[in-house]
Amino acid sequence: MLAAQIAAVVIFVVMFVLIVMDKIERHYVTLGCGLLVLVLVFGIIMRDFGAMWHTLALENLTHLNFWWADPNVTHDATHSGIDWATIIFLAGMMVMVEGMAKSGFFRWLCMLLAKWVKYKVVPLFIAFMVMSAVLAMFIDSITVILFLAAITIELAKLLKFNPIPMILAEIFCANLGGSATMCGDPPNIIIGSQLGYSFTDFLLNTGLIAGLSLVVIVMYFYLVNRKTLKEASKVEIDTAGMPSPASAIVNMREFIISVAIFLLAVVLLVTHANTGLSVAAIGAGIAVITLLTAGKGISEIISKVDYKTLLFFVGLFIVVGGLEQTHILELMAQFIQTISGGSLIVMVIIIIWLSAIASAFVDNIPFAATMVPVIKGLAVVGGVTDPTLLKTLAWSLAIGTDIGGCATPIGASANVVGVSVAGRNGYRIGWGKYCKQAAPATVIVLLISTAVIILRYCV
Amino acid sequence: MSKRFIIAIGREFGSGGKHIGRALAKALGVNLYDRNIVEKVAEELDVDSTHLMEYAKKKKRHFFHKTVKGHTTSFEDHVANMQFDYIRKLGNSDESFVIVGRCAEEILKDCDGVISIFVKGDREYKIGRVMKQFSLDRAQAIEKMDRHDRTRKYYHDRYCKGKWGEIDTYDLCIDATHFGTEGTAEFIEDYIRRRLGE
Repeated sequence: MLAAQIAAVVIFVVMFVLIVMDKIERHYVTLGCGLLVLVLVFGIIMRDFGAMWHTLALENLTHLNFWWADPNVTHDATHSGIDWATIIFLAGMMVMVEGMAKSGFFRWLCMLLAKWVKYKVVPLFIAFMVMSAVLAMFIDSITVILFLAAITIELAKLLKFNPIPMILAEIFCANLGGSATMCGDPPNIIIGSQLGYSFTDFLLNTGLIAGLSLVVIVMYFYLVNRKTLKEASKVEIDTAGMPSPASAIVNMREFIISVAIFLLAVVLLVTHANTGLSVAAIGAGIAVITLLTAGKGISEIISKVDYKTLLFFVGLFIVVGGLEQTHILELMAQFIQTISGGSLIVMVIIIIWLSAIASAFVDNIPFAATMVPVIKGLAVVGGVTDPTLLKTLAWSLAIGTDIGGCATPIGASANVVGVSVAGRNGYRIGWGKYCKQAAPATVIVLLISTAVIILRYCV
Repeated sequence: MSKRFIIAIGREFGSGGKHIGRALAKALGVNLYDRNIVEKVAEELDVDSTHLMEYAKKKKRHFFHKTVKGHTTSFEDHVANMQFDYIRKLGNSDESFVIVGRCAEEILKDCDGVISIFVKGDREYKIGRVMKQFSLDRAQAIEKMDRHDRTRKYYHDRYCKGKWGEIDTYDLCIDATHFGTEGTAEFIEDYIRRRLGE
């Protein structure tokens, strides 16, 4: 087992380093490393084809409770290996979002909000922050920022203000909003689907923390940028020439359909604990409806689905499966247990802050995927999993990985996209400018989260 | 000239490539594009050009940057791509012009009438020119020359398939040592006219 453990750790470390180096596309990295785990660790060293089959987890797809589980019966939803539910759900959401983007939904929403606040800079700043958080609760933060940042720059040129503070605030709020729900951020989907939590579970726990933090963060960004915002507010602008929200709608039929599908997805997600539908079933259903109603645009939508991210997940889950099958993650859990001295408060602090610091610099998705089995191990008391303890650790992990990524420009995908959209338009957001505003905000939210989790679950 | 043409010049630092480009543009009666592309890009975006200029040829620090779905945090990449977009736009117009550097031979390779040229020079010839032009001593001139050539090679090879300064990348590679700046410009002008059938 020692040789298998060493090989699994080496492959994992190489994968992480290659992802950080960003020289090879990350899906090639995880798939290559995943293949190595299957062949070298499971095949050659362990000669354990059961472990290989278990990690591939293809059998799960054939189980009824993968798609639907009777809400009146308690199920043990924890599993390991490739998390097909996460992958199918992400694919479904990607299809839906492509349909929405194609119809002009996001641009319409941004322009409508700008019109509602009469194009005044301070209300616009606050409204876009809130909208960023709310949209990111249901749609991936990359898409939210892609549209929001582009429209912010467009409005900044028309209204003559510097878009950088607004983009930074929107990025932060997108990450914060994403932490509020199960589908808002990939680490949450992984945590929720692997530990069997519902949309409502997240909303009532991480959602509450995110909501509280959002109020503080809106005030923080306003106070930090008040001078710039006040100066921008003094500029007299003729708003008659502003583009109308209706002009953003590319095709009214597609627009109505995409809004209806989005609302259906929201309803299905909010009620999935009651209906018994799994996130995989919701993702697959939404994708099928989007494609069936797309008409001639079906091939365009399919071609725009980010299959690279989906392949990245497949490889990642195999590599993490290698660590699981060789019991490395159990050793990690034992280590955290030892240094925390069995104290739940210390464990919560370690998980939140360790996840946050790691996520500020490395991809939070592999980190979360690795940590889920670790917290499962930590929650085992006397050979039995303590569900309350597991939930406390799960919320700590979700908040740590989701919020930690806000601190640096490379910490989360939304940050990279926001900085990139600004850069393409000639506005440079370097590490200094980014961290000066986002790092203190990250610390504030992490302090709020630590306090809420300790007071609510540990005292 | 009746036919549309684009002269894309790559050059070693100190070889006089930029001056040759300027002389060619004047002789052929067309615009010269070099660093002024950054100013034009800044004008279009309504942003400060000195800010873009600072990052126009800066080396990207990989460890501090990340790319997600084709989006990068590297401002150096953005400034490069803005210039390439502008160059493509020029390439798609009917304008004949001379362009120095900026990977133009690769960016414009599919446009009609592109003639790519690389100007090199004997090391002593280049050192002498750099010492005179920038009032430097020999050691300083060598340091400056090597640093600029390293940056140019890095920049070019980062964005292009063809390698900087290698004969396969260009239509014509010429050593400016023998004819000097003016003589080399005249030689290239003659080559261009022959290429265009005049």
